[in-house]
Amino acid sequence: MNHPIALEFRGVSKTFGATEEPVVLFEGLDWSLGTGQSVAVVGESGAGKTTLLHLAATLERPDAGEVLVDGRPTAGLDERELSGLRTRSLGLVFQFHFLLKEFTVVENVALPSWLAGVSKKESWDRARRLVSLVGLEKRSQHYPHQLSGGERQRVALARALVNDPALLLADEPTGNLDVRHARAVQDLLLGLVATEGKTLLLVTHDQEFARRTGQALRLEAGRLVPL
Amino acid sequence: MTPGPLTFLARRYLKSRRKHRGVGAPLLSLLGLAVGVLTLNAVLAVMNGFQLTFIESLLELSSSHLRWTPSDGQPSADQGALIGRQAGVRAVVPSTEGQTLITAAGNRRGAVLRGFPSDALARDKGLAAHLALNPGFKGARGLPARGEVLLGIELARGLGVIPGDHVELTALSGASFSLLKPHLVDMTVKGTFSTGYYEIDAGWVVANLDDAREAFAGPSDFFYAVKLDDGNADRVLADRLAALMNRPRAEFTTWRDYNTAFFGALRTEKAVMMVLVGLIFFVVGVNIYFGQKRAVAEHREDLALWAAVGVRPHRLRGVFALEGLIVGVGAAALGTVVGLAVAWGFGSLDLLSSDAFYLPALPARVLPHEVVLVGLACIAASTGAAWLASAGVTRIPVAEVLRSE
Repeated sequence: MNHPIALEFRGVSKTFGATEEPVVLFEGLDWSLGTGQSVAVVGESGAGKTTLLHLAATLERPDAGEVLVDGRPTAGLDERELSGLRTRSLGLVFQFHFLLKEFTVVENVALPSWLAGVSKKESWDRARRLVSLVGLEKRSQHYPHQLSGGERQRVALARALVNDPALLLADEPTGNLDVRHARAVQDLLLGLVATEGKTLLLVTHDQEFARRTGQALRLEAGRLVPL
Repeated sequence: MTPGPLTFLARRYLKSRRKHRGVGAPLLSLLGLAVGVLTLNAVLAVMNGFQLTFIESLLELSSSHLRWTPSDGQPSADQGALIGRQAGVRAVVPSTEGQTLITAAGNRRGAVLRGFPSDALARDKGLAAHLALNPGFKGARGLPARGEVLLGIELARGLGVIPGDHVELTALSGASFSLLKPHLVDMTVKGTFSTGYYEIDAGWVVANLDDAREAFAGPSDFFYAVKLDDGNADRVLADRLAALMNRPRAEFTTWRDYNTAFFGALRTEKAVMMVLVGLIFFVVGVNIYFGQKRAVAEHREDLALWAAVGVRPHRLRGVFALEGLIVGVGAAALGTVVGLAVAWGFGSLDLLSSDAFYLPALPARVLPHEVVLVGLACIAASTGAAWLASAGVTRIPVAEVLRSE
């Protein structure tokens, strides 16, 4: 079955480090991800998994080649256009939740929507629905320090979904969680792909989790190969 | 009106800082700025009080806003009336100004002799307001008739004369310097006057205009003293009158011409004082700058996250600048209220001994535009410092911060 392209890397090269001892992460990487698909990327530490995700999220720019999101090249976009793209099209989940400690669960989820220009009422309504979706409706007025690690990560997932992005980018979302909580987050992410038609690019060390996605790849020497 | 998301963020961050670090730094900044606003308002009110009282006395009594000195030295009732009919002209009084030596009971003093018509106080309310006539001989009041003089209260005291006494005034006559001859003119002291300005009270003799023109003044000492509704319209009116009366512009001089150096010195004094006290704003601004830089550093992860989810860093600068604005507005309000109260206190309390300082009270005059200017400078210093400090928001390496965890 052919899927429209949600994310595409065209000849992407990225090198890290000092000029004397550069580390080449990617050299001419060509790869694409179809809409509604879920792909997991595993690999050793330092292989470039997070960099791959940051390139997809437009948080970093490639040294050569280009990254296309929803078929749109991102290389020529200025800061304002990139911000708009991230708001509308991308949902990011990190290994560390990055919740704002000064704000409650529902506020953490609602703020990206409110800051994107949606009304306060609509943002809070969306946030409450998503908090409920991740099973935390009774914790909506709690602060991050009052939640467990798994709960915090579920809040981070709800926050990533608040602007209804088509593409979810998750960097080790279960890396800091115990087995039970990790399973719950995995179910949530994969459920979103199945029921909401989201596209998922997942970076993880957890091979079992990777195999639950539609396609598991290994990042090796700057190339993506089937696991 | 519901506050926007940036205000919501700023208020929550402020609340959190208050809770975790106390109100110390922002409160100290607020109090520092408020002290600056207070001091500037109080000091400027007193300086204005001294300067404006001084300037108004000089303008109303001595120099007037505009002088027309006819080159032939002859009064012209028609021309005087023409000047008086011009829009913006408050009063026109023919006058002379010369010098004399006054002698009484063996005492001698040099004095400025001013000649006014006997109805000058009725024509010029400003002169009447500043030239306070003390009860004269047998209770007589008013400007002198022919053969009479009024003495400044300090001059009369120095000469040891009282109303009803006689004084001798030295006049000079002669067509040229080599032919000048002094002669004495006997006058009766009708009374004394007070102006609140020592130099005038100790150095002025007021005579009837006709006496002054006959005995003490040359042609070039005669002029029409013109008072204006708006003292700053002096040059415009001088140009207009010269054209209207078909007279040389040089016959018209304005208060700025003959007081340039003095008023310039007063302005410089005030400007230097504002700069010196304004340094408080700079010092507190530096404090706010470093406080906000620390706040930005403390929220690096939050800011990186906002950038990652698509919030433009330039918008987030407003969150940190808002605290500077809050501190600035609070300090301006507090400093203005207390500063005005202090200025009012200066003006209404009897803080100075009139024996020692020749002042009935410490003069204080609040000028609204200066109060607004000081308040705005305070807010600008605080908000500007916070805005500059928040520049770091746009330089946060988002990917690096998100990766470091």
